[in-house]
Parts: sequence; C-alpha cells; structure tokens
Amino acid sequence: MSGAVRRVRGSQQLRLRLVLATLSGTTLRVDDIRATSAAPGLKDYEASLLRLLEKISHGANVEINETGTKLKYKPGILVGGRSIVHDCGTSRSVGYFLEPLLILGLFGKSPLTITLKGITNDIKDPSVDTFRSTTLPMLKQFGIPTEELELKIVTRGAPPLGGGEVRLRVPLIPISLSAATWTDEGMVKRIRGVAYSTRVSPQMANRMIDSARGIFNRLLPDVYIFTDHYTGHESGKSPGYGISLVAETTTGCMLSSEKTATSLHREGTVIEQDASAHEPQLPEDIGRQAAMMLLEEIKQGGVVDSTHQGLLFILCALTAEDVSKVRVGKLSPYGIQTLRLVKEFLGVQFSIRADPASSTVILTCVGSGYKNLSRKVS
Amino acid sequence: IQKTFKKGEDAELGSGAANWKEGMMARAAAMAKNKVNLMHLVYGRPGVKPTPSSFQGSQVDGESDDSEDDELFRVRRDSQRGASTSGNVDMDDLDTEDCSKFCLDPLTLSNWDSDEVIESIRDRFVTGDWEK
Repeated sequence: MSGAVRRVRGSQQLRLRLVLATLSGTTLRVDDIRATSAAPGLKDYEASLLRLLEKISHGANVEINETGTKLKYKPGILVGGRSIVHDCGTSRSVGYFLEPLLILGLFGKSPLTITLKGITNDIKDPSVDTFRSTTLPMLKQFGIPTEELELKIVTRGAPPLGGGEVRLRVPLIPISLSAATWTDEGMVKRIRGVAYSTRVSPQMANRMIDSARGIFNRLLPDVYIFTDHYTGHESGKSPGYGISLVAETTTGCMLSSEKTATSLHREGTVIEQDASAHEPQLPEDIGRQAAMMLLEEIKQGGVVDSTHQGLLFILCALTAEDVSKVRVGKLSPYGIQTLRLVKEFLGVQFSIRADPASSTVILTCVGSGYKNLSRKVS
Repeated sequence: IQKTFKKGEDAELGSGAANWKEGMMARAAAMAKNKVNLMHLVYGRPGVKPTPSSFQGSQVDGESDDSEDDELFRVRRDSQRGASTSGNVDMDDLDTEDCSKFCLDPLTLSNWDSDEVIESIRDRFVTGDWEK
C-alpha cells in the first residue's frame, strides 16, 4: 500500500471517501467533522460503518480523536468472509451500509456473505426492496455474475426501532470489471413493485397499490405490484409501510422510485420532526407520490435513475482500462459529488456532454484498470 | 423613483431604441443553452485551481472577525445552515448529510393527472406511438 495520505474536511461523503480510500489504498484523514455543529464529531452510524470496514478487512486502522471531530483511516486488505454479522443500529437504515458493502465486497479475498440488522426501510436511504430490484441488476452491465448476487430480506424493520434483518451475498469479480457501453435506455415495458406493510393492517399495502395503479393505468397495462405483509416475529419492532416501484425497459434498464411512511411511533426520541412533518402518511398519498416520482424519472431519461448515478459512476471508474459510455437523465447532486471524488481518488475524469436531442447527459470515461489484488491466487 | 425614471428614459429615446431589444428572449435562451458547460460544473474551470470551497466545503466562517478577538468564546452563526433545507443539497456545506437517495420535492412534481403531461411521456413507453 502506498503511503499517500489524503486530507479532507467535513463529514460530507464520508462513505464514498472511505470506500475509495480503501480501494486505492490511501490513508484518509478527515478533519473538522461537524466541528461547528451543536453535536460535533462522528455520528454513531458513521462509527458503525468504520467498525464494519474493520470487520471485512485485515489490518485496517482507525484513529479518532477525543471529540470525534478528527478521523484517520488507514485501509487494510479486503478479505470479505462468510457469516459476518453487523448491527447497523437505528439511526440509519441498512441501505446506508449496503451501498459501500456492495462495492467493497466485489474486491475481497473471498466472497462476502453478511447479515445486517436494523431498519430495512426509511425515508433517507434506499430501501432493501429497491436495492434488490434495481441496484443489484445494474451490476450485470459490468460483467458481474448476478446469479451469485443476492439480498434476502429475513425480517422487516421499520423506523424507529428497526428489528429487521437482511442477508447480502456478493461474489468476487474474476480480475476486473468490464467496461460498459450503456446508453440505450429503451422504452418502458412493464412496471413492477413491492408494497410492504409490517405490524399494520395488510389493507395498507392494497391502498398504496390502488392509488399507484391509478396513475399508471393510463400509460401502461403491464403493472404489477406485489404485496408483502409481515406478521409475528418477521415484522420487526415498529409498525410501518411503504412502496418501492421499478420501471423495466426493453433494454433491461431499471428505474426506481420509492416512498415510505415516516415512523408511526412518536413516543421515542423524535430526531427530525420538522423534516418529517410534511411527509405524507396516508397510504394513498404514499402510493401516488411514488408513482409520480417514477414517472418523473422516466421522463428524465437515462439508463439509471437519479439515486443510482453515484454507483454507476464508481463502477465505470473501476473497470478495466477501456472506454465506458453511459447516459443519465440529469446529473444529481450526489452524482456530481461522486464524479469529483472519483477524480480525486482514482484519477478518472469523465467527459461529460449534454445531448440536446433527448435532453440527457452522456458520460464517457476510461476505467482506472483496477484489479482485484486481494483475491487468492491459486 | 427608479421606475418612473426608466419610463421617462424610454419615452425620450423613442421607438428606435427598442430595436436591439427585439428577439432578446430568443437570443438569451440560445445563449443560456450553450452556456452551461457540464465539465465546468462538475470539475471546475480549467486553469483555475479548484478552491477548497468548491471541492471540500466552505472555509470556516467567522475567523476573520476583527472585533472581539480577545473574547474566549464566540457565538457561531449559521451552524444550523443546511439542516433546514432538506431536499435541497447545499454543495458547499462541509457536513452535508450522506444520502444517495434522490429526494424529489413533492411540490415540484408535475401534475400527472393532466392529459398533456401524460402525453408528454407516452412515447417513452412501449405502448406509445412508434411510427414517429
């Protein structure tokens, strides 16, 4: 590992920075983490993520100062491994942890199988349903065998108390990711989805589905949304419901949208009351908004939705030294930040060009030629 | 006062002065279209070394306050900046929340009940008109 140290400031994009530092073998030094905030320092979910990184790698070293405003992370060698269990806590959902795990799992010594416990669906992070329906199929474009990719939802966990459990399995990539030319988004041929409900009346799921269908019916007959109702020990500790929709195109692109009810229990510590105040609660509104958000994504165009731009750019940058070309609708803030970080850590700069004919954006890059060095050579 | 002054000026110059104004909207629109360079938007302008403020967040504010330097404690202004504007990501905030999920503001959604809006994306579906 090179002795390079990269100094950055602030807690923004910590996940991506950690992932890219791990992959590039760079020591990361973060200063001023929420230094001016009333609650300074690392949050518990960030500390949890650091512990998770230590679990899947050998020789990683994390130093945090007393107030938690300074962090030094020296990455180790990714090993992956079976039957790892990690409690994600309840301040962020497992979606927060799944994204870095998916990237890092590909480059380990042995395939990664990990059980994550916590909240499975919330309003901040991509839910496990979207992860399964949209995120995992994306990897197929980069030559990853998707049969071995798996996310199993064992139990549901709604906020605030969670209690959910998911199992993620990530295969190793053979040598490196293959470059993708992925610019044809095709046309939407069907819409699928999952409406889940846990510890509430199963009727909630049907109400969400009805209102979502009402919007799609004028455009496409092939709409099927599954109901996924949980009772008993599979239902976690809190009540909740939500819907995850995915539009499948003729060329195999998946565009997703989702909406989840904010925590129904208000007796515990309500963390962001003002943020959730204007979030819809009625199942009809949730279904309707999710459907409208999906139509907005379809209207925008591109081979992935706004949420998955970041992952798409990282995967492009990690491919073999070959040209990748992708199309997205409109650059999302997270996508732009990812592009900057990818240049910073991997030295991959994209060529970005607007395509006025379809009002989309075409990005081209040459992969960094990243190879799975940790993989056991037999 | 300014308004009346402008009106008076226009009247004085007569109709000839308004010639250059013709098609101003169209020209402005054409220029605005060409103007947004996505490379600059993402990576900053070439030659100009990207400042920390554009890359890694703003400088710590309030350091150059000339007064009250001898005070031991200073009140931080703006510490909650960005927290209230959920959904609108402040790219310059050092501690932006790390969320990949794109949260569309429900208020900016188009009216998907109207026929016009529905028709605008009809051709993005297999059920659309393929002849065009």
